Amino acid sequence: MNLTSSHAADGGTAPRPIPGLVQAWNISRRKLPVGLREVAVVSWLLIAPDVALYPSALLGFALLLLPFSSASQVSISPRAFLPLLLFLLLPSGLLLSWPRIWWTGMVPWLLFAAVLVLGPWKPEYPKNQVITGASRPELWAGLSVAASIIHFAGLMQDGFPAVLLASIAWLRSGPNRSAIQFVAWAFLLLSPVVHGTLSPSLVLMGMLSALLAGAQALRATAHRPGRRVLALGQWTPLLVVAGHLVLLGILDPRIFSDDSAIRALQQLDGWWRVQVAGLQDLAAHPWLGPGVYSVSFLGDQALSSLSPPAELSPATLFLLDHGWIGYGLMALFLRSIWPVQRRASLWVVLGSLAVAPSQQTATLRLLPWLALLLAASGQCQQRGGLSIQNRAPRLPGPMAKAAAWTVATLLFIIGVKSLASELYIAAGDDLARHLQWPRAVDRYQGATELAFWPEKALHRLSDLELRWARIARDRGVLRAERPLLEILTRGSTDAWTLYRLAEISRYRGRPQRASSLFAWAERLQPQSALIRIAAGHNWLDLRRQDLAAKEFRIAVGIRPSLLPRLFHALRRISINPALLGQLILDASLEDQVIYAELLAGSGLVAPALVEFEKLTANPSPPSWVLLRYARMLAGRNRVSLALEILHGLGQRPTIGPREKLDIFQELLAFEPSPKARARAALEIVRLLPYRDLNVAVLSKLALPILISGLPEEAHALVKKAIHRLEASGHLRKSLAANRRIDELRELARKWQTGGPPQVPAP
Amino acid sequence: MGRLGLLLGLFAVLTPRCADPPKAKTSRETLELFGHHALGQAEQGNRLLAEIAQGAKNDSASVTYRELARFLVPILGLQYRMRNRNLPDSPYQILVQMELLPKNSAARPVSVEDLERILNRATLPETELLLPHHAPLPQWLAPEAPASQVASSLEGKKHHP
Repeated sequence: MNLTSSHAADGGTAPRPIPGLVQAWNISRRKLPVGLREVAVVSWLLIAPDVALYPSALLGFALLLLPFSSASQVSISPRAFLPLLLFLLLPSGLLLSWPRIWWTGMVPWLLFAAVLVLGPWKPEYPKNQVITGASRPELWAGLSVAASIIHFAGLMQDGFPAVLLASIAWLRSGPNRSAIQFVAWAFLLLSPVVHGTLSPSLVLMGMLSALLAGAQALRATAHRPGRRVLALGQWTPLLVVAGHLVLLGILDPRIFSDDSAIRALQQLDGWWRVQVAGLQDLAAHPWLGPGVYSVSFLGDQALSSLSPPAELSPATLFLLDHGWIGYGLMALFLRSIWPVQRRASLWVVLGSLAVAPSQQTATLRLLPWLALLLAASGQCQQRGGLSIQNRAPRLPGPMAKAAAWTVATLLFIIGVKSLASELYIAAGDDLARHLQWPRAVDRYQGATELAFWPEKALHRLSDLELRWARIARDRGVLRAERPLLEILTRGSTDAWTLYRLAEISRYRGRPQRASSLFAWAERLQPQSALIRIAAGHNWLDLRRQDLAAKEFRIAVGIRPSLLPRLFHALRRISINPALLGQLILDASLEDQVIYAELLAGSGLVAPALVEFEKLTANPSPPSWVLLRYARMLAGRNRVSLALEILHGLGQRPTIGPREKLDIFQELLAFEPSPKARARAALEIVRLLPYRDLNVAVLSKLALPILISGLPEEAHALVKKAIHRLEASGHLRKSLAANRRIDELRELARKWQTGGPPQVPAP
Repeated sequence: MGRLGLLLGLFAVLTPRCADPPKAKTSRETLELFGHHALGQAEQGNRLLAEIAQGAKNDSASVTYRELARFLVPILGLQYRMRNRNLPDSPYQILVQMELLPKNSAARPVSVEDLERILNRATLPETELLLPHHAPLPQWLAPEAPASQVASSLEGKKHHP
């Protein structure tokens, strides 16, 4: 495919200089060695971490390229593009709908197969072509179709024989391969997705066999009719498998050891997460079961050896984290194999770059394909029509319209289904709120079936099913687990999903699995107190109190107000102060004081005293610590010790009036001697703010003193309060202060005259 | 015409499914409906429902907090926390400790809104009830909660739908 000459053939003029990036692309394309195309596509397929999720989309992509790669010499009926477009579109539908309604996803595929068999998919090769070497291709085709159907039906777990047969059939049939072989490939490439036994090597091998053998055969046929140039196609399966292994081996030799493989799988996006999570319960699923069951043991091992991602080599991590390199290679490959115009290549590059930063979201993964369609559309509008005479390939007019309609239809369908899904979710929320759970579940399920990105509906469905399972024992919590597993299979993992999965595991009495899921969730959301608390309780279930205390300590660090609750959670199972003390290893002074008070409050008075002694051991402990220490002592019948602390605290010259007031209030509460209580009350009156000096407070202070037989002291209290109020000039001016003074005088007069004290209501 | 028919058909299918649900008038009726729908054929649920029905003969149309607690504690499997099993208010006290029910209101009738809120919240995982703030309820069940508060049980985590 000589693109320079194709430009010359268009109008006899040299190609116009193209600035910037596109020019660089053109230069690189001219100097591109022939073999680099294959290297580019193989590298892309091997590197892109999420490639395993999209075999069907890649198949569509590969088949789309077939006519383009060979179109320079071969006339293809415009109608032949329609099934290709269908093929490009339908994988998206399949991916987005699978596995909720897998049969719905299958219907388009079956329709497509019918189109392939009955439709116009038959390239029109040059008339003088001599077909040789195709020894009984029908036999091979029949065998491959049978094998692929057997494999697809789950009767044969290993898909390799079927792939091998299909490869042989494909290669031996030469350019006269029939459409039925496409069906065989479709079944083969679909079966790993359906059965859950995904073998990336197998899928890649099949795809590359289709792509390269087809391209080679068509190109060779176009250039030299009658000659079979299928060497590369024949060796493609081996090349792909070997390349896969070698590349992985070069990147990280430890990939071949068991542990490293498990860790590597943990890094992979999407599909593998189900397997790594060890969610064997999916094996109970009627059609996902067999595949998942076969790999579930791997998940348990992986869960028990969760390790930080840094254990992989930097090169592997870089490539895993930067799948956009793969998309860039895809663009390079496209640019080299597909002689599109500048605008079209720009679309491809932009599409590739757009998908790069958000690889984790399935949403934007459609963008490259959308870009391809747009590119095709732009190309068609520029040129229009495919002609045998022109060496440059030109896309037919109908394809432009078809591409435009495809994009518009896709967007319309996405919009309508998303809107309908949102309506369903809103209705489900309302129903759930009004306790109509069966109908709410129905709405959420409807939303998951309608939505292109159903995570939102799946979360709601799982939440409601979990709450329902908590009260209806016969309902089973598996219903709550399945939507979350489905979210994982879609490649979007978040802390909430993992946390809820872990909670469900706890609920089902599987704390080991829950602990692994909690660890995973903590890695994703390390600052979540909720996950730490749940993980701690799970460790308590496993009788690992030390680990529980560690989780609780982190939770207390995140949210200090959790300390009392978590203390009691530990205290219920242990009286060991060393264990309980782990809660406050990193805590502030206030939390340590709270901890000591909690110890005392839960009956562990001696450890509480030790804690307080530690806190007050330094030469000048904060007065509020001493105050609370004294309060704790007084509450545990150690009044003399408390008074000693309080008297010592009252002598401090640096203590503020507010703290002094607290001290005297404590003294008033605990002091056994009436005279000492009277002195404390007088101090309190002296220290109280003006606004608090009213009849109610004075009565509360003085009444116990009166009852103790010390009327003079009580009278002195009132006098002191009156004196303070009168001495404050700014208060005296106010009417309220004057009224208070009058009331206090009246109170003093009554008490002076004797008789039982009449206490005004506060 | 065909497209119009398609749209009308879509509208006709979606409208009844998105319509407002019928609301129960009293809390007792709400609880009975909830029990019938959610508990199904569970033996324990049926017994509790029978007790509620028995209460309906004697009492008003509203369920009291005490009755609600007697219904909820066995349903949630919290009987093991009842130290004083003979006291009538033991279930109520347990739920008060869990901050599911208000204090000092055992004999007060429960409104329909409160009943819906309490039942939705009580069935969450217990860990989520431990959090000191009162927003463990998912966003879609707590419309009165501000969005920032609901964002939610995973604090600082945007994800929750």
